[in-house]
Parts: sequence; C-alpha cells; structure tokens
Amino acid sequence: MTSETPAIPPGAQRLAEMPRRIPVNGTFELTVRCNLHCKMCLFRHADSENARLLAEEMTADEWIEMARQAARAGTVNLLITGGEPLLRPDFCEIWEGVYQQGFLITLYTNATLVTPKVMETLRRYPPHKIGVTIYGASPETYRKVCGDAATFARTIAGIHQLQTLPSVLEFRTTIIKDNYADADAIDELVQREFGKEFRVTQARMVTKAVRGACADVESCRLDPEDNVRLAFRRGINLIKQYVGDRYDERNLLLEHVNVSEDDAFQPRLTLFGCDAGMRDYVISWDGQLLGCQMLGVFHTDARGQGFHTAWERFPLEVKLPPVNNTCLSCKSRNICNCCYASRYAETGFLDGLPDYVCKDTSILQAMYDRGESKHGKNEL
Amino acid sequence: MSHPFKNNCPPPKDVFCPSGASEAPPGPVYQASSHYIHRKVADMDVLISVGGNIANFNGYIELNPSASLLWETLAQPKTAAELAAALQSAYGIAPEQARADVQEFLELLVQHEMVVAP
Repeated sequence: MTSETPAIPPGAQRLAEMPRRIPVNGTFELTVRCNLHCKMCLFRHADSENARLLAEEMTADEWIEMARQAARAGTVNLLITGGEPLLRPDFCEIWEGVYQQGFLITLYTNATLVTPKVMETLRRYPPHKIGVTIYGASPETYRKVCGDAATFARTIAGIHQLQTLPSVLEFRTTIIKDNYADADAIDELVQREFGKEFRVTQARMVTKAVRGACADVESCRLDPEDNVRLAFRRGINLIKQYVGDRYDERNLLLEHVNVSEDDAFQPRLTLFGCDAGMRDYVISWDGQLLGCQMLGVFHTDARGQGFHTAWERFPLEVKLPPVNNTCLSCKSRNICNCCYASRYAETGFLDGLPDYVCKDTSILQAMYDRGESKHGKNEL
Repeated sequence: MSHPFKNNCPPPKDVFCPSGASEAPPGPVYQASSHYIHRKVADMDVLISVGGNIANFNGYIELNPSASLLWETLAQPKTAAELAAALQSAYGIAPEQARADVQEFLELLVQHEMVVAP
C-alpha cells in the first residue's frame, strides 16, 4: 500500500466480499420471561431477573418500528416468540403494529395465556401459522415438566381457542426424563383432542440452556441412548402410520444415503455453515441482532443503530476459530447434528467437543455399522 | 399475465351522463383489496395475504413489474381505462394491447376477490 492509496475502512473489504445477504427470515424474541418453568427450556431466564428484564425489554413502539425497518430491509417471514410472548401485557399492541407491516407471520406460544383480548386481536390479525408446545398428556406430567399441574388444562383450552382461527396449527414437544413415559401419549392426545391430521414435532436433541437462561438441562435431558432410541421409535411409528399393514419390521432397512457428486449442493459462502446471519436473524428481547436464537456471542445493536446498520455490520462481529481436528476427521461428521451454536452451548467454546452430541451421534453410527456388518447390507 | 380470457367482469355501475355529453361512460371502478399487503422483497414484488383472507389463501403472490404497477395504481379507485393509460405511459405499448392486458388482469383479480368496488 503506497502513501497515495486511500485507506480502506476496517471491515469494508470483508463486507464487499460477502455474497448478497437479505434478511428474509426474522425472529422477534419479545421476552425471555415465561409463565411456565419448563426444566429444559433453552431461553427462559430465572424469575429473579424479572425486574431487570422488564426494565430492559424493547417497548411496543420499538418493536413496531423494528418491524417497519425489517420489512423495508426485505423480511418476509417473521416468527414472534419468547419466552412466552403472550406474557407481555402489551402483546396485542405489538402484534397489531407488527402485523400491519405485512409479513408471513408465525406465533409460537405455550397457549396457556390465550385470553379473550388476545383472541380478539388474533381474529382481526390471524397468524399465518401458530406453533404450540405441549409437554405432557396429563396434569401430573405438566407438574413434573413445567412446574404447574393446572397449566395442562389451560394449554388444552388455549389450543382449542387458537384452533378457531384460520391459521395453520403445528404442535411441538420436547421429551426429557420427566415426560419420557408420555411420549406416545402426547401424540395420541393431540390427535384425539384436535384432529387426526396433526403430528407432533419433537426436538431431536436438547442442548444446554443458552444466553443466560437458567434451566439445568443436563439433569433432565435424556441419556443419549434413550434419545436415539426415542427418535428411532417415533420414526418407525410414523412409517407404520403411512404404510399400515404392509409394515414388516424383519425386513426393515436402515440406510444412510450419501449425496452423489451430481446431486451435491453447490458450495456457498456463509458465516456459520447455515443461513444464520445470511438470510436468518433474530432480534433479541433487548434489541440485539443475532444470527440465531441459540448463539448470542456475536451481535450488533439493532435497537441503538437501527435494523439496517445492525444487519449490514453483523458479519464484522463474527470471528470463528477453525473447527477442531477431531470433528474434521470424525467418520460420523455427515450424520452429526452439531454446529457452532450447539458446540458453544455445550462447552462454552465455539470449537469445543460437545460430548453429549458426540455420544448421541456415535450411537446412531453404531446402528448403521451393525447393519452393514451383520448382513452385508444395511439391515437392522 | 398469461391467464385465459374470461368474460366475467362485473356489470358496469350506473353512471350519470350529463345531457349533451359526448364522452362514453367511464365504466366500473376498482380498488385493491385491503386483504393483501404489497411488499417489495429484494428484487421481487409480492402480495401478502392478511387478515381473515388467510382462510381463503394463506400465502403470498409474486407480481411481475407490470402487475406491480397496476396494483400500486389500484391503491386508489380506478377504471379500466385509467389502468390502461398507466400501462401505456409506463411501457409505451399500443392502446389496444394495454386495454387487453388490463382486462385480463382485472378478470383475475375479480375472480379471486382481490379488488373491491369502492
């Protein structure tokens, strides 16, 4: 660089070399407070922090302005979540103002706080999709998992209310030791209570709580063996529902299909190996722009600088170490679910070895290996 | 706009013609339904279905540039002739082509209840 060469502003070249990033998919995390106390929650903060959280949460006006800026920047799909978003006393005001910007909007809720006022707002401004969580098939299970038996009935009643809306309804659950016995009963409850067309999506893996959340996940999540066994059993149950009497377990094949070179995705430049920070973003409860709700270590100040500046400058904040050699050389890397966020959640390091994920993956790998060695082809 | 012609436009509203006026009646007036919000996303124009309309259609519609122009023009009540004039002005096409394109566009909007009579 000569004395005549104009100085390049820090980061400008890095930004110029980035592929085009458009914030198509947004998440607004209205709060990290929740009225339930689920043992495995990734995001809920302790009640003792409520005073501080309430003082620092984005206001309704700030959320509506953020939505206006996000729409202007190109956001189409918007998820409203928490914590529990209906816990906010100004939820209806936020919802109406955000809705009018014009998004394909999804609401995530535990359905326990569906008041007449909330329903009036949602009837006028119905979500395109509603994701409800259901953690047990009885009050007793809700007591064990969520800390309050009475919330079971409120959940069911709330979902019945939400079902009157024209929104697409989806069910989600997380299975831990305390509701493991209810895993099938939850599916049966949903179909019996709300309709046979519904399926319950189960979180494949429960990582440790993130971003200051308080749950002691390690004490309640399934052991890796049970985790894999449950995922497999649920998959088999789904197959049985589809094929009916044709199901034959003796001839069941477990096969991992490697993507051929011809079918392989074109390589692309990303920040984390996914769409986080490239097409996806989160605005946290206190106005920070994150790539993903799981990973808070990289952030820009959307509340202070505005959405556009925060989005544009986000890549400059991302500083990643190389992936550790153990992961790079692992024979199971093609079936492993780990990412920078899960490594950080599990170990506190972006290049850490997530022991829980490794064990889960090794069990799955062993299943594939047993199939190959036993019969010369992939049979269970 | 490649949808086939369908002769199902709404009948013209009664229009008062002052005696001695030589102009033809202006025809029906249309306006974009508030059940859709027009958004610009990257290089695309889309209409997001909102409100109770998502019971009929839960999703979004992508507009090509001429459809986007017409939709923006329909933010205020407009006749077919006024819409055709907007197309002519923007694209320099022949009046007959503009009228035919607008006719086809309006038939689609009417069929899917995307315009209202203000």
